[in-house]
Amino acid sequence: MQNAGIVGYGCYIPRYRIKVEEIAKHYGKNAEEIKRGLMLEEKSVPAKDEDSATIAVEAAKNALKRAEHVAELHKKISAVYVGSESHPYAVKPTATIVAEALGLSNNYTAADTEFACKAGTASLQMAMGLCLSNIAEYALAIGVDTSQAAKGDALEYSAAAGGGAFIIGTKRNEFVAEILHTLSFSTDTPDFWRRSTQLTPKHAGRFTGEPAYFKHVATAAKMIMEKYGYKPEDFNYVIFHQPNGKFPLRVAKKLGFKEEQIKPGFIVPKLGNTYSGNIPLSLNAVLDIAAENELILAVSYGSGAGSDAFIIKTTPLLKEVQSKTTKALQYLNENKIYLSYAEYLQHMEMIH
Amino acid sequence: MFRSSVPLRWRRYAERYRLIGNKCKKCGNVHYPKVEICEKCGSKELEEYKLKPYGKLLSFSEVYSPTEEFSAYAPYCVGIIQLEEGPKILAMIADVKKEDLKIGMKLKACFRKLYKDGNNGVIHYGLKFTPYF
Amino acid sequence: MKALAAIIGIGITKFGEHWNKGIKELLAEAQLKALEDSGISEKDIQQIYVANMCADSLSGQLHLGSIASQILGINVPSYRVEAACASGGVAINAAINALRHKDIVLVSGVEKMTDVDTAKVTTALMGAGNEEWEEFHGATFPALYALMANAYMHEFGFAEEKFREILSKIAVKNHKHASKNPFAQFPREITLQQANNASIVAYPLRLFDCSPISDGAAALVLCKPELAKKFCDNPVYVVASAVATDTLALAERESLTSLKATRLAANDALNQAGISIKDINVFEVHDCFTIAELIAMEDLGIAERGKASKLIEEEQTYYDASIPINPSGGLKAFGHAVGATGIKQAVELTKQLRNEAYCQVENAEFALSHNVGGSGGTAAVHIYARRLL
Repeated sequence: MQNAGIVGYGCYIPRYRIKVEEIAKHYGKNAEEIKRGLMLEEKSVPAKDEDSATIAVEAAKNALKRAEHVAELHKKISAVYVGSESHPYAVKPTATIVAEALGLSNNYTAADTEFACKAGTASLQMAMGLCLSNIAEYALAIGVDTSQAAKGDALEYSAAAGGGAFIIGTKRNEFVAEILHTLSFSTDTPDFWRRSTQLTPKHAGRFTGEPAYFKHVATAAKMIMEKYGYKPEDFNYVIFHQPNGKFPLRVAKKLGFKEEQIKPGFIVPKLGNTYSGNIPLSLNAVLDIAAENELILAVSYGSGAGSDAFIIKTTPLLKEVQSKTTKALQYLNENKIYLSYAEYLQHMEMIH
Repeated sequence: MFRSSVPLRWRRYAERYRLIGNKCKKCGNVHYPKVEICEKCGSKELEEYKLKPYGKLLSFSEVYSPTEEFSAYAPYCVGIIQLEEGPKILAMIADVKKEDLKIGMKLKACFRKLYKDGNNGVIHYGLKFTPYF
Repeated sequence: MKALAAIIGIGITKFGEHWNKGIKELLAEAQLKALEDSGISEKDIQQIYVANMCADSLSGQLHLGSIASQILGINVPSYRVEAACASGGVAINAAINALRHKDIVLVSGVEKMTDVDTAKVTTALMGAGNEEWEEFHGATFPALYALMANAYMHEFGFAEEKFREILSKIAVKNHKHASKNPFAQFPREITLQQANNASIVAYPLRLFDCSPISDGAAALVLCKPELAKKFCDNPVYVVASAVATDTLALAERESLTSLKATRLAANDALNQAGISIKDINVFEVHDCFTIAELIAMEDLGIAERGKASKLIEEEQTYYDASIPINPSGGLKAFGHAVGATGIKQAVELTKQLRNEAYCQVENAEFALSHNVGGSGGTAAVHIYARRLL
């Protein structure tokens, strides 16, 4: 039976950071309490001249660098899907900006997607569908955000910028990782939303926990394992959507996963929540260090609400491409530029 | 008036987004931006050519008194950069203060917003350069 | 030595902020003063050239040729000439060419820059550069010359502090000259310390390295050289008129520290006049920024490449020293009403050769004006003689 697989993957995180202390200081709040409560130290901030389109382009370029084993790939990609909560335009696709910047041939279909923080994984499923149905030979899926948060809202500590890109194909000998299965669980649950005329989102407080995040993530994880006959201990890595540090650790424990399975993909404490870039970036971090024939369970969460679960197996080709370009943890930990709160506000003003 | 023109910027997307210049078929000289006549040998036989996104910093300045379009970015750095294949260009250098710059350092191209036409107009993208770590 | 034209009348307005005068009033003042100085009637003018750069972007006004002739109430051919900041020098070159067919030509220059805010003027001035590849990438005019200054510092191995001193000395000199000139925008001296510590405009250039935003106009009445003595006793002769062009964008030049257009125009002019640069007694060079004056000294052949700073340190370019440069105060202290500057240089040098200047150079026989467009896309060099030998 034919599966879709990742032939190239990449990511990008802007250089700027702001520490929890710096934001807390502005509001006269206790930084240590917030850091403990959210398990967050600092988050990424876009440069004044960056937006979801520019981040998507850099991530996609990195994905192409890891897919050099496929000749003339940029001429063969015929579907582009970009998922984000911060597309630069409400009408005018980010996907075509990315395609133009990459120099794809013009025989491509494209669309932007939105499903809160899981727009990126939704794009991934669409890319898989186009490939498995032989409509596209290769497809590009990106999840990216310059996340917004209202001033004074708790989200301000975590809303971060970054994105990940995946090039999907169906020729097994080109895979760096094979997507064995995908399954989703969705309901109409308005836990977090942004009206079209508003610049920042709102949420329903504690309602975003049990009936929203935990219900969908846990259900999708359990359902995919049950359907395809897996147990938690079968996986080398597990990645859950990371809106903060607490939620993914709690759901992992509840489902029976161990700390060493979660740790490699657990990048939120120094990154923040990159919304649609969340799972794409964590998956990048895991792929950057995984060995061959290892199993990954990745479960995204998008408010509104739904979870996309993926069971992914790495191939021997993976280790040959990991070092072809900048890795997720390099973007995360190197060449950081720290901002004051005033500078941070200037940066955030420019994302609209 | 022209600052809001869409076609004026759109026709340069390939050149701006992907460093597409042209190369002389006769003597091999690479040009960026595109030329109509080879600057070295005068031949009109030119073909499109994609330049590599790396360059060397020949000079830089930090601008404190910007034009209207870039007032939100000031102070910012601009530089004259010699691309690997030879052509020299002027570009904004992103994510740096002048203390981060040294003549002769290696830079690489990055895709950034160049100019946003207010809250209602088109966002124009292009390449800036950053230090090559 | 062959004369190409004779200057028989000059007129100039004060450069500065003229709240009560628009383009027409400024142009009229200069044109009428020039006519009066020449002693001829406006009805004798057979052709007009008006140099201007920004009237369309700052005042919405093109078609200045028609305004210029209307001021005089005549219907002769009248052309607006534009070559960015070299508009004036290029207009003189065009007017001289016209003298092959016409006897008397009026050439003027005007600029009205203070009706809009600084950011708009900064934007408009970048029309002198490459809009798509310089302005759209964040370059400003000061930034272009700052890139030259930084490259110069690096190429010739200057320490930052030493280079800062050199540039400041140029500004101090030009202000000293302007302090004696009632037509100058800033008729007052500045100190070395003021220039060293002024706010940064575009690193490494500071406030006093940069010529100001100015309103102003200037005009010349030119006639065929053989007719000069009919009109005045002390005509000044133009013995060389040269214009050269180079790439529009700074990045595309062969060098960041030398303007090929200046070198070509200067060589052409000296050949036309049959003299060497050492024969020139007084210069008006295009100091849109202090670094431009330094580089011009080398491109004109006054000093060797990388060595002009020595003359500055030794203060040899004051009006009463060995190589007088910018006795008017230059663009920096006299002001830079862009389209008028090339004409103003000719006005100042005519005064020098008539012995009527404020910072009078003793026994001046030959003078040279150097006018540059943009960051060096055009250069116009003219040589003037007190008498024909």
